[in-house]
Amino acid sequence: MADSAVPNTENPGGNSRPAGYTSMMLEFYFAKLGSLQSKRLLDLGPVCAENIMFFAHQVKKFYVCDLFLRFARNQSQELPEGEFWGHLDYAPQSFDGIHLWDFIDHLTGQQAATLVKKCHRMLMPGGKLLITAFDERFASATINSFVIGQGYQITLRPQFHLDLPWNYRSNRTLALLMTGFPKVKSFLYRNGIRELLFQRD
Amino acid sequence: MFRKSKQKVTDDAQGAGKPAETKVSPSDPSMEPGGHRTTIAPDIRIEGHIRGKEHLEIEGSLKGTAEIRDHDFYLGQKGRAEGRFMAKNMRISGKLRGTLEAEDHVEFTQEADFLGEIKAKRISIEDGAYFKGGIEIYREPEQNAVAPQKPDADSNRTPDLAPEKRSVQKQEGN
Repeated sequence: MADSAVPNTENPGGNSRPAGYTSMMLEFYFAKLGSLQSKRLLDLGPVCAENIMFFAHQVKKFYVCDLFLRFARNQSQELPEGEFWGHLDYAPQSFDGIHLWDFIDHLTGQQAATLVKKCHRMLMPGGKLLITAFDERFASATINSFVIGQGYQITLRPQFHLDLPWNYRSNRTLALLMTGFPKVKSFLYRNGIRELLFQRD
Repeated sequence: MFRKSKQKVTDDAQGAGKPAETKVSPSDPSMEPGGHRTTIAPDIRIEGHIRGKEHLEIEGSLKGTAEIRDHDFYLGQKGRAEGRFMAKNMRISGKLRGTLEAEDHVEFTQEADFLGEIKAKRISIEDGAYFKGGIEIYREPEQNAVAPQKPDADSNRTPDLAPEKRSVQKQEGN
């Protein structure tokens, strides 16, 4: 995977929690989406009011589903997994873009494969899938929301109410997981965060 | 069925052992602390259409529609609502299924459980709220988005938000 090294002087030492960073991917993502007025985007959380306002101002309608929270509840209450996937009951080809953030980091291989299939179903042909993945060193860190600020500066806000397992995946493993999603672009930051953009075939 | 909540009435109700009124939080300037408020009490269930000219608070259950334009709508932690609700500002702490139309602000507290559609000028959601929905932001005609609005530091938009701050101000488009 040909990652682009992006200068980032924040938190190069590897603390238990990654520092914020400036997202190169968001600007690229918007450029790839093209005219946004008619676009439909889905964000799978953690739910973040700032990001809702940011994205909802760009598109006609912005959709949010708090998948992190529902997955955590599903895990803690040991509910049937089918019940969890039922939350992604959107019609086929409903969206031009889906934001997964780092949700895949918290799924087993089988669960991640199911999620990729669900996203493939919900996206329009050519639709974009935005993924963030963490470095191994943050495998036990608190889950964060990615709060978008000025100039696409991303601040990580801890979500202490969320307790989910971490499953680190290399870029190669992630790429293999993305059946039906050719990779468009990826960025690797010094703070250990990776941003990847895939496009539905 | 309805409980009018002026200050002196609230005091009387509390004295009679009825559930205490939920106060309007002064921390949120968009929520009008003044004015009369009608409360649907916890053990009251209503099905139908409500239209009024004062604030409406639901601690019980409402299925149907509520139209209180120019006034505020509150759904308490134990409150349940299903249907279509129109108000100036809304604060949701209970379980709501349906459509919200706010002339200004919709706020979800961390206890909220929402499934539906929202049209509003501003939305704030506390971390931890259950939220699944579609959001449409009212824009001024000249603010129609035609291109991605990179949140530049020199724009006239709201300054960057501190990480801990959960509610957001309306972002003014360029």
